[in-house]
Amino acid sequence: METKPTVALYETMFILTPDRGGAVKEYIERFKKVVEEQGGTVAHLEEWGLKDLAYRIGKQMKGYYTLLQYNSPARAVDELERTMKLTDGVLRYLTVRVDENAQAAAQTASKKISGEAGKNEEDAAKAEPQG
Amino acid sequence: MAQTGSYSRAPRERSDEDKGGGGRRRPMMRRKVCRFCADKEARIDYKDIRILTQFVTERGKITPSRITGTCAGHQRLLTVAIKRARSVALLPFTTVKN
Repeated sequence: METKPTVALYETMFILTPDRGGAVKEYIERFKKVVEEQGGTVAHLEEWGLKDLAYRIGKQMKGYYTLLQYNSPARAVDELERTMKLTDGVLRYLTVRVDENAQAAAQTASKKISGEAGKNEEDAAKAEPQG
Repeated sequence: MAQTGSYSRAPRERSDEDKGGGGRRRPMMRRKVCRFCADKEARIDYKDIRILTQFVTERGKITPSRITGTCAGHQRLLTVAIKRARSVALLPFTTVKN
């Protein structure tokens, strides 16, 4: 009996060293493939390009930022992160689970606790705390 | 109650932007509304440094909600977002260098 794996929307931001910025397409293709191999689909891709870093990473002051959003089962995240960890050009990566309801829940909960009556908004937004 | 040995407490650093923190008898007259409660569409996102920088001091520290008027729930979300942004170098951990 197979249980269907839960598919969720994840978002991974990764930074490449500036000198690898030119080959970013190859990196993206590789990562996309990892996601798809694990049963995921790429939802969105943003290339932010070269940006100044707020602090020095790996002796670099600039980095090539890219954002990838994908719907997939959880193992794709593990696989993708493992791949990135081994990939040379990747300076940093951060994976977040995108949850539309997380902010609404957090806010209503806090309102109840602090006893502020009268306001009952549903702020739906992204980002659930990652471990 | 004898104290076995003394412990020295380093003098608390007063950063220039401490506005009345540590003051004793200041009645809280602020009635500022939480920005995110007021504007339902506003999203707290670690990627949105334009918003995030408004909640960070000059030194890069997170501004207390006492000053910004942010409600508890949103302040927690802000904190998470700021810390994430720091980890991907979109925000600094500190702007003091030495």
